[in-house]
Amino acid sequence: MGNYMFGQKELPSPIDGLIEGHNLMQATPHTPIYVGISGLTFRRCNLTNCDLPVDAITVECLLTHSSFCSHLHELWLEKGFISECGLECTHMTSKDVITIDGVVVNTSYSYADKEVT
Amino acid sequence: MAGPYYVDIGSPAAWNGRTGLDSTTNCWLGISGLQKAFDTVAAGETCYVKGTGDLSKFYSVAFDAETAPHLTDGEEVTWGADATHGHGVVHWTGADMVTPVEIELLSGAAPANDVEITGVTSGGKIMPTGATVKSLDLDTTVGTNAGGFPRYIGTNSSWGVDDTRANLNGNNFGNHIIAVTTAANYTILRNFEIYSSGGTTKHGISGTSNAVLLLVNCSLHNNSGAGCNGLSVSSFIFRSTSYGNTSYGFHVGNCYFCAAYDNGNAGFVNHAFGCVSHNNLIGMMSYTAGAGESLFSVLDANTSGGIRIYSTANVQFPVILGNRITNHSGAGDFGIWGETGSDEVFILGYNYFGNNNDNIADESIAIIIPIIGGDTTTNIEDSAGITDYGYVDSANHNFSTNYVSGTDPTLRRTAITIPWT
Repeated sequence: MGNYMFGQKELPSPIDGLIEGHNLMQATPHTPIYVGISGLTFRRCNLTNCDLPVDAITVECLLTHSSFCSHLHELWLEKGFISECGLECTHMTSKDVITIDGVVVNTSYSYADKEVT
Repeated sequence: MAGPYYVDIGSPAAWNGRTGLDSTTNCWLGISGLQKAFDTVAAGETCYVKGTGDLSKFYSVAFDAETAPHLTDGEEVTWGADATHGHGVVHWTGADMVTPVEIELLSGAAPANDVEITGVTSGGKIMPTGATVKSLDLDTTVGTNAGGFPRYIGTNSSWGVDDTRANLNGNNFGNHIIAVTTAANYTILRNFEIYSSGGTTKHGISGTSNAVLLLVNCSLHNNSGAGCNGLSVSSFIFRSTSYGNTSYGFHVGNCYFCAAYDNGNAGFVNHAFGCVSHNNLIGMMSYTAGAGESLFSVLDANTSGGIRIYSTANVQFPVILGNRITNHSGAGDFGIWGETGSDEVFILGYNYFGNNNDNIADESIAIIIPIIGGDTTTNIEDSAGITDYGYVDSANHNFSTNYVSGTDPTLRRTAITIPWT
């Protein structure tokens, strides 16, 4: 079992075609992994944002694609795992502007990671 | 007091007319049967659960028209024809059936807008307006000192209680797997495996308003949020694991003898006793507002560091005692460090540090417990010539220290004298 998130380390080699119990999450949706390798079975892995070989079998894995907001993941950004988002990025869910006498004195933003297809 | 109750979540089928009060002809069935149990089991009662349930088949179905009689709780229901045909098991609570009801899909197409649903036994009908997958809701019974706590215990296939877990497989349905509120405070979940929530930021167990749970021998893994999230600081978690989650391992609660590893954020938040936190983004986050504690735990090889302190305006002290904080060796990684730009006072002593880029980010604000009769630290830092940092076999997740009398005692064990005068 190991943490291979965001390509920190080279992906683990399959053992008899089996890859089990690893966090293989990638930073951006639909990142291909194990390209050109057939006959793989993934068991109990975090496969967020991974595109697998077409014949891969998955058992009890996390299969989802998410767009991550750097405003919500400062340590991921600090480590260079994800790219920096602008203030009004696509993850923004709301924006509150406080004005006094027509002057903007404060702006606050809310963000959320987004599930993508 | 009734019970014990029995639910076979691996055998979904109609369960109308069943009481749940035996393990054979009366046990409740499927995920809908488990929701029935969550809605029924009272304080001090026990419910045994076996098998693997698929949350992706569990729907909330809203309706805007009904033909009497009401659907019978637990009966088989059918709908549609050809491509829209499906059948399932219905569940609802309360004195009167109101929208929405819950339907566990047994086969065919999911319930859909304007595809009328008919009860096979009752003959009642509802006209749905839509169906969405939903969490199991734990929101009915509060445990009490006088009445006891409601207990849900996973069993093996013969209803025997060992460490076999009942499995709640989210099957990537895109929702929290169990949603718990304070209306179910002091519920015990023992021997459950909760995994594969799917979606984004969906937790294995999601607590609202700081719900209080007791977990024993549970495993929470590969969820798109945390293993468990939003539980009260009054929750207790024993001998459980949380791994491979996109966010936290265990977010709040008091964790004893637990393991959190390979998570995308901290393994633990605020309270860990005798735990292992390995290969997470951070070993543990400790909020001064919650006066967090890390006691006698292993924090090893986490990507950013061992323990990160977050401060608030309150002056409270996280306590960091008797831990092994090791192998945070990347550039800029720390054994213990604080939130950027803040002064976070914390108490530490009797810890072992090894192979960290920097053991303690700012020792000037740390309150370090001194040795008896002296002024030097009780922490051990970077013992010369040591490569295993006191572990038997960390590469294979054996973090025991294998203390042998007469050999490297200060590396593997530190005596603490209790004063009497």
